[in-house]
Amino acid sequence: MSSAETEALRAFYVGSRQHLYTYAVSITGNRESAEDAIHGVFEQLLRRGKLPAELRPYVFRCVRNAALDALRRTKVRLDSIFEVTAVLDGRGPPPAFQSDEIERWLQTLSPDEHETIVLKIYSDLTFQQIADLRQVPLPTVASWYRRGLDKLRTLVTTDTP
Amino acid sequence: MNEPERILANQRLAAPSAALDRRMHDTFSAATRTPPSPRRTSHWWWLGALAATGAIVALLLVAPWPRYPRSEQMVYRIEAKGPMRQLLLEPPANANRLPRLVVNGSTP
Repeated sequence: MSSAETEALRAFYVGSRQHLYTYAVSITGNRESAEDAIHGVFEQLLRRGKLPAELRPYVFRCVRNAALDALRRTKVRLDSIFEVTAVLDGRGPPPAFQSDEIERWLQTLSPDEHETIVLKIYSDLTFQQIADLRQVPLPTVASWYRRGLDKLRTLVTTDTP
Repeated sequence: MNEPERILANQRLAAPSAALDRRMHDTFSAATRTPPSPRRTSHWWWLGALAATGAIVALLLVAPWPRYPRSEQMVYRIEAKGPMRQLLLEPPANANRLPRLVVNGSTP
């Protein structure tokens, strides 16, 4: 890989590290495994001869595969995608709902609904990019997202203090 | 943005650790220092081997070496002996055609 491509990949990592990390943790449920998956993906990409034209969906797909492999190995899902100390550290106003509560809501969704919501809201992917990543039609992705939000809306209404 | 989306978007996310950033920094630095990877080198080896094979095949095709044995004219004389010779030389008057000659045995 040329030094220009290496730099492009580095810039992509710096700009997308949070998105990739949240996505990987949402699949593995384990922060350490998620970090290993991300690191392994970038190591493999650097060994490749050339980067793909569409880097963003490609890297997300690689991270997804690596995270699913890690999940199959560990089978333990304990870690949240949220920062659990958000309420206690005094940074900003306390949220209306605790992160563990929202994590519990997300766990009630189907895996497809959960993954789509994470990708859309936290990884900043469009429906089309998610459809390309999951290799499903765009209406399917939109349907997963809508159904997931409908379920969450019911839970919000029920749990509102 | 509706209510569930707003609630989700307002949550603070767990961030990747400093250890991951260090590992990534080391990996990128090593990649910048490393010359073409072994995979790329082996790619050139394959190309070289392919070119060498092609050259050998082309050489064999245009070489002046005889690929088949030279053809030679061979003449076989078959002589009938005994009663067969008699039949061939003096066929019976009632025979309107020559007896069928069958030769058994391996040919050279």
